[in-house]
Amino acid sequence: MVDKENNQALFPETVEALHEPGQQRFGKKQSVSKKVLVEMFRIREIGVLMALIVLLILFSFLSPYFFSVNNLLNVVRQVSLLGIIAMGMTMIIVSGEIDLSVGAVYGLAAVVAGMLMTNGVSILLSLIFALVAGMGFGLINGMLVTYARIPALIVTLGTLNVARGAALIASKAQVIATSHRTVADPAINTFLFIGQGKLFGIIPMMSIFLVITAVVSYFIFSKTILGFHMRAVGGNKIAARASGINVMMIKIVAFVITGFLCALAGILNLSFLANVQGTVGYGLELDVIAAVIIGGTSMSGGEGTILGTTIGVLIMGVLRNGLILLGVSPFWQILIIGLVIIGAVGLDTWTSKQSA
Amino acid sequence: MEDMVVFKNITKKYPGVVALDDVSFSIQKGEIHAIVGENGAGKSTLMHILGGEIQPDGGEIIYKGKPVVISDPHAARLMGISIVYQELKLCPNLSVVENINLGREKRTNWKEMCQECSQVLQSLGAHINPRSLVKNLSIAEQQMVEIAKAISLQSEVLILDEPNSALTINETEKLFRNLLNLKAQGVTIIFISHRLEEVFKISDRISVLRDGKYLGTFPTGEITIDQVVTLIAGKKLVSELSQKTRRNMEGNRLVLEAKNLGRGRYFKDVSFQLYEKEILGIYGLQGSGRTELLESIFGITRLDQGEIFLFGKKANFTSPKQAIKNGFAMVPEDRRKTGLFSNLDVKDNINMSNPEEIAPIGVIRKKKVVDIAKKLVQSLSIKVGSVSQMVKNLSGGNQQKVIISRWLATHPKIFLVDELTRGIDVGAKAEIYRILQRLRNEGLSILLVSSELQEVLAECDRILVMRNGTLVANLFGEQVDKETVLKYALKG
Repeated sequence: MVDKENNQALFPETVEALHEPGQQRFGKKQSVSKKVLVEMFRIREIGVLMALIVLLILFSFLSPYFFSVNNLLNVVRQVSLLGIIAMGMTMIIVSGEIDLSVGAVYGLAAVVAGMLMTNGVSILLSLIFALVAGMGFGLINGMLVTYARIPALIVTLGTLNVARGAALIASKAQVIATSHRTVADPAINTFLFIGQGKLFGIIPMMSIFLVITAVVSYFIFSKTILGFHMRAVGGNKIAARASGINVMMIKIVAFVITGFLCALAGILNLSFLANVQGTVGYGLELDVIAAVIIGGTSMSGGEGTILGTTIGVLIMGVLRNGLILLGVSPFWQILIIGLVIIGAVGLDTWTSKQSA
Repeated sequence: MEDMVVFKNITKKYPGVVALDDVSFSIQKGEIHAIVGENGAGKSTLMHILGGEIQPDGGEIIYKGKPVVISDPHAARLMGISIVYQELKLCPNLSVVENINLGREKRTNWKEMCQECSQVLQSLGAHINPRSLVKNLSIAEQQMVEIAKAISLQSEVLILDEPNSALTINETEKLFRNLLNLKAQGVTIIFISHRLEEVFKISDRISVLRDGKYLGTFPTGEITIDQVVTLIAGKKLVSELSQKTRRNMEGNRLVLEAKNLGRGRYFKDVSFQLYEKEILGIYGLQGSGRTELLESIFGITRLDQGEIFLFGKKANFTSPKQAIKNGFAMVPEDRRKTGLFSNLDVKDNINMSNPEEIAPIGVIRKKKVVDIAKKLVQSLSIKVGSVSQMVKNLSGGNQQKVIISRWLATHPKIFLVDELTRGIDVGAKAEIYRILQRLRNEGLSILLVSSELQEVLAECDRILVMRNGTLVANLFGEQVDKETVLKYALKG
């Protein structure tokens, strides 16, 4: 008796699952195309990927200079620092937190490395110090958010100012040049190569670093238990704890990874420009967050992918580059990027409503 | 006496349940009318209908002699009907006076509002500063503010839904003095409570509901507590349910021993033993501290006092992680809030608590994840299209099975389950009970917390009854029937 009732209750579900393709075949033409569209949107990154392709096609038609190997490689190089940091930011936002301090930590790490190497410390040691400083800020952010239970928005707003202030104090707001004249370490050529050099004389080293970071981040985020737990923690913090996950540890790790990536980006920037000042990376956090959101990551946590963020970063880069080539004023660029952020999130909300 | 509210043939159906079945009775002007019944008897549903929160499927309400449609809570308030809910509905970040005047923003004279507010509070004998923030008040004081709000709206009917479940004895007495005061002023009070002694202390008449049916209204002086308990329990069900043979497990190996557990105001001096292959039920009404007890055993919250022994070794856990490592598993009370990851799919939800198995060196073995999920989906016959389906699209019963699977993947020794079948349809319920019995026979010890008496009676080998944060009975064998359990749960 009970079994029969049960089967009846389950019947519609099962039938629907089995006959979905058939329904599409026999349904009205309009609803078929809509269903296919919705089905495509269900692959999370499809929406942003299409947006990127549309942009690429659009700019290719509008500007003769846009679609060339050199320009496209240039686009990737231009967004590589943004992209490296965005990988970490994705992990933080998916874990249900936010980090506003990334731009300042990036600047501070570059100042630390620049000051040390111009004061006789070996380049390798200087870079290690810079990376430790970045991770240290990540650790402090993470500890304050978890153990002290201060909201991440407030903690990182605080550390943003601390890091920025420290960078300005240390550099005395002066430009620190790192060239053959100011750095004694003979490894300076190698150091400058990692930011300025080109692999095989064509691919900028900085974009190589972006690709490596993206691949490693993808591995961590999608293939390891750490990434799995980040998605769980961001999806349902209470359930995550009740399932035996160390929620605090996961969040701290996400912050530390981001701190490390900020420092890495800071070092690359130092190498690229061969100088640094305390104001470097001012406002970068907003670009990073924008790229992550355009890539489909949900601000409420639990949803987001490295692939999506990569595409989001590229959209930012293509937009900027294309608009510059078209001679659009920088002020209009800002405005357009604002609209793209809202449009991307709007599209995301719409598609998730369709698939729900 | 004049009738204030008359319920005429009120019916309310939900999928799979009839919450109210042709309920008709009247509430007189100026009386304190208590409505009693088991969890899920339909008391709150009826009050939600009177308060305009939900609409009945059939029947009508006659208010002050005229048939009325109460379309929403605002309409109810305009008619003079106010409800003080079990969960208080105040804005904690606003002051008392702001809360009391919320929704009546056309009044702007702050000073006047404050004066009026303190007058109302004083008439209730509550010494609360109208300017203090609600979040800084005790639960009892917040309750007073809710009542003050109702009074300042010139309510003629005041409904209190389990008003004293969070109050101390002193606070309850104060509340009762206020209710008698209001009654003297001519306010009609409807009072819902599980605590029968208190119902008998304060009410003029008592109406009993069981399984959505109205059983009668009795003047409080003409009926005894025992008679009410018998009515609430229902004679027919007793014989039907005590058929289950309860095995005495005390000869089995002792698995878990709790000694004098206590935490805050939730529970104290809780001691019990759990044996191998035993399903031990903890029955108690809402707010009796059962869920909090379970959470403390599992390490979600910390105990203030007492010790837990697992196979004779001390096992007071400070995190669920520790508990899981030691062979504990817990199906939580609120599936959505503390169990499911609605952003993840079935296989991810199932493999949430066995990281050592799916990722021995930190890298997830996808095949293992899918294999484990498929095996459990099949073993518990979870109805899914594939293990990659999102859990949010599953039915309640299947979601619960996913959570059970998650714990089976950790190979637990002790299973803590809290409201295992809440919001699940009859068919799925039966399946889940079968799973429970299967696990028991496979050697697990199960601690089953429930507010569904029928569930406890049908599934458990032994039943502990919890009331006001203490265990009041340990029932097994012949002792167990619905009436006995309810008697312990309801009265002291």
